[in-house]
Amino acid sequence: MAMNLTPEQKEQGKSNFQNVSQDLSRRGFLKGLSAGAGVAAITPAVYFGYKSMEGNPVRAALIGCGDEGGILVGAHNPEYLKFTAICDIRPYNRDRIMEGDPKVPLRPGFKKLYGPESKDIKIFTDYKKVLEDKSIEAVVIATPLCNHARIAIDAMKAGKHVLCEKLMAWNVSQCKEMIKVSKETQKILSIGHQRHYSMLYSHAFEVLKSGVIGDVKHIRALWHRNNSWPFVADAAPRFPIAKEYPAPKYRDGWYPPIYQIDHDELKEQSKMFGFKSVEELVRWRLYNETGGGLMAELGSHQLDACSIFLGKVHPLSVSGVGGKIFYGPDRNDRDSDDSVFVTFEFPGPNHPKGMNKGSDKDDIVVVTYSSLNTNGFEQYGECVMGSRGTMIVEAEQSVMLYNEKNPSKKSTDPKSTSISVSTTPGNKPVLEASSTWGPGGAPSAVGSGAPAASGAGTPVSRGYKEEMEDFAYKIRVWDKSSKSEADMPRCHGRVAMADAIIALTSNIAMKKKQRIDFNESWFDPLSAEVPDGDTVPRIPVV
Amino acid sequence: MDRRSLISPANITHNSGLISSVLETIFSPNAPELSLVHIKRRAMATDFEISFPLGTKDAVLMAEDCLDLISVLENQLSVYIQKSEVVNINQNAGKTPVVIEPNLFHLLQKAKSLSHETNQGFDITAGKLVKLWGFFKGPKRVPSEIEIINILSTFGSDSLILDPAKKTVFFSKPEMEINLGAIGKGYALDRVKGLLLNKFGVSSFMIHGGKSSIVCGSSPQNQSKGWPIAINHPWQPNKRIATVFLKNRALGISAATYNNFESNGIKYGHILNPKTGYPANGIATCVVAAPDATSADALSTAFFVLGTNAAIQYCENHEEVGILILSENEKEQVLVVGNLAVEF
Repeated sequence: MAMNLTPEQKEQGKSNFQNVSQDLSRRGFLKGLSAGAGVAAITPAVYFGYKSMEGNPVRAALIGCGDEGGILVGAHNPEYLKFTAICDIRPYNRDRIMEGDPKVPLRPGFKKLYGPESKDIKIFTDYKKVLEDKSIEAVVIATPLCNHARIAIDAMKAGKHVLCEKLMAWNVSQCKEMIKVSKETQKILSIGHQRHYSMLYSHAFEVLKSGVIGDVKHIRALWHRNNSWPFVADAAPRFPIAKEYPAPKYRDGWYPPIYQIDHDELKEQSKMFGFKSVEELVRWRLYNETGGGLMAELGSHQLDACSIFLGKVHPLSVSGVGGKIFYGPDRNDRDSDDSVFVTFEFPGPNHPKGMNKGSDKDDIVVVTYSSLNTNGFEQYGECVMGSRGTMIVEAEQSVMLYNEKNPSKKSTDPKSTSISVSTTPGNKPVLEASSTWGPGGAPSAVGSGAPAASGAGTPVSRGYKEEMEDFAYKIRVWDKSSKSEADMPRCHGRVAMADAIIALTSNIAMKKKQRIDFNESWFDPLSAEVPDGDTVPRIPVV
Repeated sequence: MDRRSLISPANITHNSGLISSVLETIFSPNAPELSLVHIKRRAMATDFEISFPLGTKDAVLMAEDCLDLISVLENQLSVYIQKSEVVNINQNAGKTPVVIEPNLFHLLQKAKSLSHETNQGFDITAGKLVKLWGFFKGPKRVPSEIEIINILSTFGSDSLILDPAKKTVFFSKPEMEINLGAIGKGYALDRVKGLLLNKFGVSSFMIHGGKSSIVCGSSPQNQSKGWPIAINHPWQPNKRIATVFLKNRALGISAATYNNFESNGIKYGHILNPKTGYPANGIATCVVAAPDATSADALSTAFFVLGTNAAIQYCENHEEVGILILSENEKEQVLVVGNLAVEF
């Protein structure tokens, strides 16, 4: 994002946002506690409203131990959710989830995380066997998209609570079926759009609500990657690579090598799970019948973020251009588009469908989104453009805030002025006087709270950990609750279905080369209405 | 009412007079919270920040105008900027009267009268003394006694000749240089206050330069006591000494915590006594409340230099001024005198 910023301007922008997010987190914290409590850094648990598990973590199984499963294992907190079983049909994945990925610290593996206790983890190949295990309370699903609905529905029917990776399901009908089963079985259904548990995004939304950047009319979101560099095989791979499949020509996470152990064990068996071949299983993101392409994998997160910024509203329309314009035969070929460019109309705050349910039909926010594979110059993120300022969220790690240059001013550089918001309890100091003189200027803030958000050197949590903690906590208090949507985690089925509708309808619009108006009934789980082109899946749900 | 109270935070309840009456009126545990928007920019080698109650219309636009004004004033007043008006004065006012901008003229008049009122505890004409100690561009050093004696005779506010009719300044001691470091920030804040009150018609605001010069407008809504400002211990930043409440008043804080240096095992502060030529000591923190920030800045410097007794005496003759002083001895007593709303 923000290709025109110097490092100094980026630092200034981050500091602008840090001021705000720290101030606002302090405010959230103080609102949650009685007066007189000290000022301290707010924890995600307090912010998102969950508590300790008091030594009684949820016993869960991880179904699907691939790239994303490995990330979830790396981020989970066993005090909340303890994995007692894993399940994957691929031997390569079963090995890696235990051993870890030496090249990816975010995938440390169970042996490192659980130590000797990792031997107690039960290992399954058939998820139905997992569901028969009475000791397992919940499942975390991180399989290829085409299997989400089937496994989630079977799990809830077997009495398990479900945290399913995004995209929620392969089509909208499946999403509605999942919500229906969740209601019928009275089991929690939570979907892993981790931005709902990112303090950074929560604070960014609060800053937007405070109005400091004025009227927002445009959000530009993008996730560009350069997957055009030649593939370099691992010099000493842990397992030999199968020669039966085309080798990757480019470095591309969606087109990994296929290992001999997977081929040997699954060349017949993969069909039982609905896949045409081992290649379709391993490289499922490339195929329209198993995955959802760039809009599902990347775009859904960022359109989710845009919806959050605008007050969790639904878009009004989408149109776009997409295509497989780089890859081709013998060059990491695929079904799915390698480049997508979509434009949405979202309701602004004063639109009848907007956050404030106003009457101004012209209050539209245009959201553009692009994702491509041939240029990585800009870091991924979202840029919110207001009439008085700009907020840039970069790589889920930093937020930068700038005000607009006022044309009636002579020589001010808007990027050097910072804006922040604070709230203090009545009669508590709003400023700590200092005795600086001349150079220096002691950085100190009202109260003595440690910085809450991004500290230097420590990556900001993207939300995976908090998402799983809240899921576990909600399970613990579920039986005492009214078991309604309000008792579910933040990204429950209906919320996540909206993200799926946005991604899937974008794909339809690009495929049909049409502008599509969103129909509000699509977002209603009780309505049978789904977008035209919500095709019947090859892999059946039941 | 007894306007003097010598108290230490430990036995606050034993005190009477102003402090206890202030405590009764101020302490109110159920006051509503206060949300503010802050707009900040770097100027004069520190951060200037303007705060308005959240929801103040066009807060950012107004603040930008204010911060732009501060940049303009920095370009006029700084001794570090080659083309500033003050540098021009220092280069030429020793030779011939220099016509200066009317607001700057009034500032110099005010500085001169504050110097007299404080018996030279504060003196803008000591620019060369600041340079002698290396506080201008470094390196910092301890000058010889001879150097100091020599320099003391080369300046003094009496030698600052101001002609109100022609708006000129002339140095009757030609080597003299002015340095507005001790009041420049306060003056900038007063000018910003004028802009907010007169141009924008906004009355509720708080402005500070480096947190050591502060000006507040009328109380924010639901905060009838004024803007609460924490005063912390100069060497233990997490230890709160007091909370001061300001409305339509300014605060200046002086302490020898920053910009000090050590030579032969002795620590030297950055606030020089214009009468002796040496760094002042004896006070840890001196907080002065006054109707305007120019005065608050000048007086906090002057009282830091002159010491507690002179500060008390000044307050007795100037009922618009209040002070809070933390002494630099083991007891660390807090002294509050005069017109200052404070809570411990």
